[in-house]
Amino acid sequence: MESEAQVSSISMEELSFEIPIELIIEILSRLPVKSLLRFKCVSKSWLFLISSPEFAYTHLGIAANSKEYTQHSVILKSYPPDFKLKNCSLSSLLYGSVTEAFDLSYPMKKPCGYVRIVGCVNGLVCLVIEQKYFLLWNPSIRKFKKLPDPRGGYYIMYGFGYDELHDDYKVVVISNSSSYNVLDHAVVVRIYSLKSDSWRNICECYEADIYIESLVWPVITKQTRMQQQQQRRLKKLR
Amino acid sequence: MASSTTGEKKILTLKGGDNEEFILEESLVLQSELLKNMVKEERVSSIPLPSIKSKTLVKIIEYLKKHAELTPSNKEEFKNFEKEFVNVVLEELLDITVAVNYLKINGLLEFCCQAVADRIKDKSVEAVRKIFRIESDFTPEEESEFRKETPEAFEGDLDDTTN
Repeated sequence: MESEAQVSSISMEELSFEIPIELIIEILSRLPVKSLLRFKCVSKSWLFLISSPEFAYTHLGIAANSKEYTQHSVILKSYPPDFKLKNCSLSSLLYGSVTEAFDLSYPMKKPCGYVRIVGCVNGLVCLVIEQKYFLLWNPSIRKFKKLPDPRGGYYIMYGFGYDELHDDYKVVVISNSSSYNVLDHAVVVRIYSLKSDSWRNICECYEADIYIESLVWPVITKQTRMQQQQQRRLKKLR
Repeated sequence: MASSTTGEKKILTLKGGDNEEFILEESLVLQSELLKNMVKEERVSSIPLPSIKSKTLVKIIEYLKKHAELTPSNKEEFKNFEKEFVNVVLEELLDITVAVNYLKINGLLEFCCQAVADRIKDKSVEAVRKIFRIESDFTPEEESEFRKETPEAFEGDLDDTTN
């Protein structure tokens, strides 16, 4: 009994151990986002840590590689009359006996308002609301950013992706500036960069039907090469 | 010389915080990056680890032994062992995690960190402060701001216990 009492007194003394900051990061980066939002108010140093971009990278890397897909979700869209988004955990979809999907409230939602999911990468979702408003939305923290108006006419195609080379998120929009008929009119391709928070034209061309299919995704990471290809194709057309 | 080796196997002594000694095969401790460097570069045969409690060291040695015996055929058994390994009170789990981090046993470190995360994910803010021995430096007003900003993070049954 005596020796037990001694051991416990030693352990009480050693309770004052300090957990090194890198270990705190290792532990916190394995938590779900909901817990992190709550633990921001543990202390100022935890708030600073959890809010830092470096932590977001670490957290994303671990969540994306989780073997049980515990942090992955699938977003489902229901069709008219009401455009609803539903959230379904991927692990429950793959391994659960019952799969449940919950209504997901998205920004700028209106009853019967049209919503389109352009794409999803690294937990960020690009939405177009009523064919007009482009949003980048992080459903985990329920924050969103409304993109500036791309000033296009009739949108034909959209794409959303992550540009690893420049560590930037990009949205590509192909729009027809004047008419509903894609084939005969001028087509404008614009690209939005989250880093610069602006749109720029990457090409304006005609007879777009020839290469439009292959354009949206490659353009995001291999812009220059695509532009060269387009120019070559345009030359051929002429 | 003969006393420190048995056949080809080298023997090493680890000394825990309360001076208890643990004698084990050198090959086992090579799983720890820290000890590996000490053994290889300094050729020591006894390593004092004053910051690690003997109780913690016993657990870690148990893991090193099991891990060394891991083969494709006993994978399931090892997984069950791992589950049991972290099935201790949270304070002890944190002790183990801190020691594993210090000793740099990489696979085990990730496993322990995930186990700690799983144990604290549904805890209340107050419980987490107690577990990590952190004093709040926010005013009550600032704290209620967080609750207003992301009310969903504070919803549900939060666990106030520290174990």
